[in-house]
Amino acid sequence: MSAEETTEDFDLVVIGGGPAGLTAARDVAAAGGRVMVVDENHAMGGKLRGQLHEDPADSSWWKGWELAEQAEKDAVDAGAQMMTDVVAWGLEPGWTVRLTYPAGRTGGPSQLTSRAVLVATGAVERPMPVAGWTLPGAMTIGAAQVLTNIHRVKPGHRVLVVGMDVLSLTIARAMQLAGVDVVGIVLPPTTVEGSSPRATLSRLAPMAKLAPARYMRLGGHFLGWPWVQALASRLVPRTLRMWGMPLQLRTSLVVIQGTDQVTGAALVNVTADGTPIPGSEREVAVDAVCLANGLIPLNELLATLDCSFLRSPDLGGTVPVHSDTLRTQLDGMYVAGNTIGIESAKIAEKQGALVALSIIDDLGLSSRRGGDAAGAALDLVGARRTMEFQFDANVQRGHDDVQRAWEKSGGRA
Amino acid sequence: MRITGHPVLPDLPADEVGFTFNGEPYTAREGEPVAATLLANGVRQLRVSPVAVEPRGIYCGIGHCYECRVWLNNDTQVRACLTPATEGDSFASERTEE
Repeated sequence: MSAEETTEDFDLVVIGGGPAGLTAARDVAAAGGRVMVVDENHAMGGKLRGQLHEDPADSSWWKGWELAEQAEKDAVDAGAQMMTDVVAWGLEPGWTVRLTYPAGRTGGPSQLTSRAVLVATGAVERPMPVAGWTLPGAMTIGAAQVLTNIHRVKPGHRVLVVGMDVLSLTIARAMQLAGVDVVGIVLPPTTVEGSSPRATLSRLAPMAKLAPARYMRLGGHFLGWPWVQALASRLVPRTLRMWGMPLQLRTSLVVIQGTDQVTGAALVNVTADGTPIPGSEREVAVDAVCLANGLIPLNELLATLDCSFLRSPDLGGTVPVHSDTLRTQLDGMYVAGNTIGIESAKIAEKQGALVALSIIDDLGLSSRRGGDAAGAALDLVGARRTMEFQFDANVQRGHDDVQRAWEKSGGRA
Repeated sequence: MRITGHPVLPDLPADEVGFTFNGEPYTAREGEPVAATLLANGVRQLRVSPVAVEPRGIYCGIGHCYECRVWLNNDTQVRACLTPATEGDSFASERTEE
């Protein structure tokens, strides 16, 4: 165990070693800053580490594992230090980052003091409460991703995926690649907001580009693809197949079944607007159910501080008010990545590079390594416009709302 | 439940770290969280809830929900989804009185 009140001093402490945090750490360290990255996982990389899909940009495999290893190596090569298996549980103005080592055996300082702190804590999943969700075998879709792509363990032999969005369909595909029998992808219980077939299908439209390359890029048009035909006709088909997996567009989960662990799920057909159809109830035998209800920016650390927040459904939840150069209302406190809105790892990496420019400038580090933060902020807006897909089609509107709140506050809480 | 021969990802190193869970021996990959090793061996239930006495296992998989907490060496509670085993560790659903 660490000695009481052992302190180390840094120019920048990064909380969360995902794509945003590692990129910022690399650039600030390269500019001569003394940088420490802390992460509660055993390996750096955040959720990037578990990502695996065919990149719609060029049909190559997006291997998050390798990208995460490279991002960590680049940051270390630039001089950044790393600590894994450590939880940052408190922030005190000045700045002091309080640490704990939950496994009780990884020694280290109990706090870090730093001129600047970057909160890059990412996101968590929005819960989908439904009868049976506490049974072993019922898990979030993110847990299924981590198990399948990072730990290489099947979440189940026969798996039901509940919820249809970019994340769930991508992870369903990853499970299929790993040899899991994905028996169906169904809608959330009808009590979940926005879960009707019609609402789901309209949200899925941007996903069309994630289909296999041969179906998806017909000169920029996607009309060869049945989902888009379905959208155009305003009819909701009963089932579409995606890589052979049944996407059951008019079936909702009712309950997850089992005594000691998941043994099945009860399902029901619903009308296009989500009303259950009596008499259509049925059961499916599965040993795992993966629940997908979207992601929420994780802001527990900043919530304890004197800064204001803005609720933005476009960004996935409530985010700290910040400038377009990723400064918060508190001197020396910065934000980047999914903690300020649900987006892809590519955007998170760009945010990491952008926030590094702000930090380098504010700390008066090497001007040679600095750059035009305002220009980088504009580049970020441009990158969003050309991104292959968005978790939320209106994500830029959310960021614009945050920027307005920032300007209105004059950058002060 | 181990995934081997993945079509895209390279194979991981073999299991080599010995630990016990509720007295049963298991072998983990270096650095792998104990919940993953247990699931690979078909063990889903990690504890029972203290009030309703219902089974609990992996839920979020990223250390956020604490549903997977187990006792390590009868001394401290850890999140099984994050905590790798080290050789000789003893994990358990319940703390036992000395």
